[in-house]
Amino acid sequence: MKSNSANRLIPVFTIGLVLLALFLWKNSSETPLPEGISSEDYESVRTSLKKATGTEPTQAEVLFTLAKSLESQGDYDSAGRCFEAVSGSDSHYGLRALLESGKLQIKLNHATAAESSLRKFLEYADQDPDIKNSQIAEALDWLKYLMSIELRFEERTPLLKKLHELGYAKPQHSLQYLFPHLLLWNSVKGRDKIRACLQETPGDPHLLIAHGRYLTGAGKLEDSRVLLEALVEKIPTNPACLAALLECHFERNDWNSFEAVLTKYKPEDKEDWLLMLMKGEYALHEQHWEQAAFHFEKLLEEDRGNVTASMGLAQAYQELGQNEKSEQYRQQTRVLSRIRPQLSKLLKDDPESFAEIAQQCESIGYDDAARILRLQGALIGQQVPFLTAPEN
Amino acid sequence: MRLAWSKSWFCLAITGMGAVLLMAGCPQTEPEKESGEEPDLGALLKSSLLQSQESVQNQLGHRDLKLAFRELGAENGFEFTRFDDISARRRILETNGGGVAVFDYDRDGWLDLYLTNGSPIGEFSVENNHPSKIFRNRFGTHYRELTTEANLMQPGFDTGCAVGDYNSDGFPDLYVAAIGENHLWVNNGDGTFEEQALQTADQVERWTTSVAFADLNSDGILDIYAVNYLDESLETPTVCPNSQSPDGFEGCSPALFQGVPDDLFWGDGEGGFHHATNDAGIGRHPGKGLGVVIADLDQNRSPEIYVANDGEPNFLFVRNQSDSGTTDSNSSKKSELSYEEVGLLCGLALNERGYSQASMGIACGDYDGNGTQDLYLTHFFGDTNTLYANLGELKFVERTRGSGLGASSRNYLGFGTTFFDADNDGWLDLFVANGHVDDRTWMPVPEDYRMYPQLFLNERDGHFKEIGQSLEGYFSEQWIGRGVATGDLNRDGFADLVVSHQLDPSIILMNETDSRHQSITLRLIGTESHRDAFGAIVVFQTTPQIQTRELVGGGSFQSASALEVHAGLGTESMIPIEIRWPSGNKQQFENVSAGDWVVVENQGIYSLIARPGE
Repeated sequence: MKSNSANRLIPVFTIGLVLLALFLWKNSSETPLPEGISSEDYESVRTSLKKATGTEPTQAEVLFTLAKSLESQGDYDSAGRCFEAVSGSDSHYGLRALLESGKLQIKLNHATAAESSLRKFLEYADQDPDIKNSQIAEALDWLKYLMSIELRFEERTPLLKKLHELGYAKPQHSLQYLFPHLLLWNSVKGRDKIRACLQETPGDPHLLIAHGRYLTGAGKLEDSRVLLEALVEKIPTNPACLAALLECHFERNDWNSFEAVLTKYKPEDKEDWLLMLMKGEYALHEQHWEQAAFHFEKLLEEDRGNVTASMGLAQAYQELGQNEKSEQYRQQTRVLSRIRPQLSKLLKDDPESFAEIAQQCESIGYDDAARILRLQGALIGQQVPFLTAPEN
Repeated sequence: MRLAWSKSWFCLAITGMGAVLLMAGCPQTEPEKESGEEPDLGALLKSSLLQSQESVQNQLGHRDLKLAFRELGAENGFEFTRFDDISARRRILETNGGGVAVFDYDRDGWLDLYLTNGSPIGEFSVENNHPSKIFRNRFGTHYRELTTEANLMQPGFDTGCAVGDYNSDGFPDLYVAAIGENHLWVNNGDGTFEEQALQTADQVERWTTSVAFADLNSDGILDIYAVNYLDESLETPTVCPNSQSPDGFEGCSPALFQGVPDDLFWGDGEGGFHHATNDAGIGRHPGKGLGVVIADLDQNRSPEIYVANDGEPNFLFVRNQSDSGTTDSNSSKKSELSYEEVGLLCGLALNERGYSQASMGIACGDYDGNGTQDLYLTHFFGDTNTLYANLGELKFVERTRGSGLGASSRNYLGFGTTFFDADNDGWLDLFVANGHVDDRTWMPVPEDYRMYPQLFLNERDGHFKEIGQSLEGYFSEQWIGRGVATGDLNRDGFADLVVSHQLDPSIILMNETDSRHQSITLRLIGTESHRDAFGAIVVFQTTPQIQTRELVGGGSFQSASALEVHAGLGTESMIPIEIRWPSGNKQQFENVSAGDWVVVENQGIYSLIARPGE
């Protein structure tokens, strides 16, 4: 009898084990719901999707849809958690969730996380045939916005270039690409956004450097000096940080402190535009005309429309007795200084203004700018919103 | 074997226990850093994020009990509020306001006042109820409006003004700029004026802003330089819709308009003027002019013309050296004169970053005591005003950074400005009238419409200290400041200020600074030079610092300061002075005591006595 009971129990036990294994396997392939998301909400969306598509949606699809819904309701935190949950799980929705996550993180002032999400999206987007050029352009645009307010113009330029290559560049993008130096950067909006981001991630060096530069731009030179000097001690090899501190000393007209920074940290400017500019200004101050010309020429190679570099070159070459070159850069300075206040007209969709400024660019040999501006002007005239390119 | 295993386990256990003990002795967290080892970025960040006024307060400097200004207004007979037809349409024509002239029109020794007025825009009528006005100064503290009696009633939208004795009859005449037709008012010498036709057949009516009289080639005949602003219509002004604005409009940017060339009129010596804009090469340079000063910046007796352009490179016109092969003023006929624009070459066109700026008003004076006339320009909100130091030989360098005039001006929009020695210590101080171009308080990032005026004290080392807001009264309130002129209105030896406002009454700021410092004021009368002696340079041999003052044409914004040379003497009461007349003559006086004087070229120096009370 005893052996019969045992014999009956074994299959039951076995079936139970199998069921348990199946249950565990099934649950292990699904991540737990993000914090703050109820199973009721989840089920509601899952059911709707199933009804709409006729197929059982994946968890990623449900969470993605739920996230969009939460975002539209203003529940950004929950939406963000949903996107994050998706981004690491499913390849199809994963990338899209990265993009949405990045955008949302910018809204929530999580600049560091936003940059990470958007860059990751762009890194893998090319490899995903389901990702459209319009989505890549969107990511580029948002990342460009972040680079703009963080004053990382060197890193912004390749993003803008890519936007033009994809055919998604709006007039504003062209202006930022062609004349990064001429456009007002120390806006109150940018400053306030940086402050808000710093409340979320106070230790981010990019944000701190930008904050320091905004303080300099607002004339709060003592606050800027104290902050940037402390930051430089923490990241002494960061060229952007050194450049920002030099800029502060420049605005304070404190050449002793300026020199001390150069001597102590010996910064290599590499691709840092502000550092090149500061070195050029220092060389002018020291009347080292050849050095000044060297730094400003290097800067102009990177930032063709940099009027400060043009003016510096005009002065340097004049002092070096190279009058023809000096006059060439003086003329360039004159044209660029006239272009600057006209740039705002280009944002008012006036095709004639594009042609006018294109002509001025041609007069100083800035042919790339002329070409792009003429194209933008022509498209406005045709009332086409922006350049389009076939989807990949 | 069993013992070996046991031994192994025992050793392992001991080792493990030892490791545990070691780990227990190590701190689990980073050691606390000693204070002072590393800067607390968090605290620094927190303090810089705080919306505090500390840095602003530090810039304001200490309260200076000595400087004091008393406001004179309607209760003193000086009642004037300019009309600009300011409206919800925010037309650019409404923005600039007017100017003020300080001059002794009846030659009684007391400086009188003239203020320009606007008119309805788009509804021009000869029955303008807003005439520009003249006020006769009665002993400095009382004023009487005598516009009708002076026959100065004129319709129109008046802007700037300039004063000069164009017919050399001893009575100063008045040039009034306008949007449309400008007017030259000839002083009859009997308290009345008569309009002189100025326009020539080829003269186009323009929006003229600032004007300057000067004797550009030292031939003893006055010339006129009129600065023109934008190509805009008074009858059908441009509007710029903005649905976010409470009224549906925003102020139009000057960038939307075309600039126009300025006008140069040569005096013909017979009471008339020849329109020489194109002949002189000025017509080749359209700009958006708001301010002008004519001064001998390189002291070669050939004055330069400096024009402040809105959002475009400023102009510096210098006599073309190809004229008769020389710049010797007396050898060139006016018909042969031409000008070359060299602003960029000389460092005056742009700021040091290469940006063109808004450029409203110009102050001209030797702020650093090196003997040359420096320039200071006022600019837009969010930008800094610009100080150009004159290094000689028409080389200028921007010295805004570190001067105390940069960061302190960023949150203001400046118009009229003037150097003047507020405390008679021998160093030029600086006044700036501020006020936005229109009401932007509705914007997502609002900007003040009315703003504080600024007074900067010269610290004698190339720096200025802002002290305005530490003073009571006028300086502690906000205004929409426009034209500014200076002169010693009550003949007490201290330079006073007159400020034209928009929306609020214009005001006289009587300088009642409590100081024992005295001054010398000179009214110059040319005999070989033009009677007004524009371009005369006076060197005051004060110690330790020699002061150099020039009688310039134009300056500030749309205004004309008294044609007198004023210098504070500091602790001295008597000094030598040297006058370098535009004709080339020099006069030296060994011991000139503090007070008001009239100097006649090649003759002598006489006391200037203001007519006593009637």
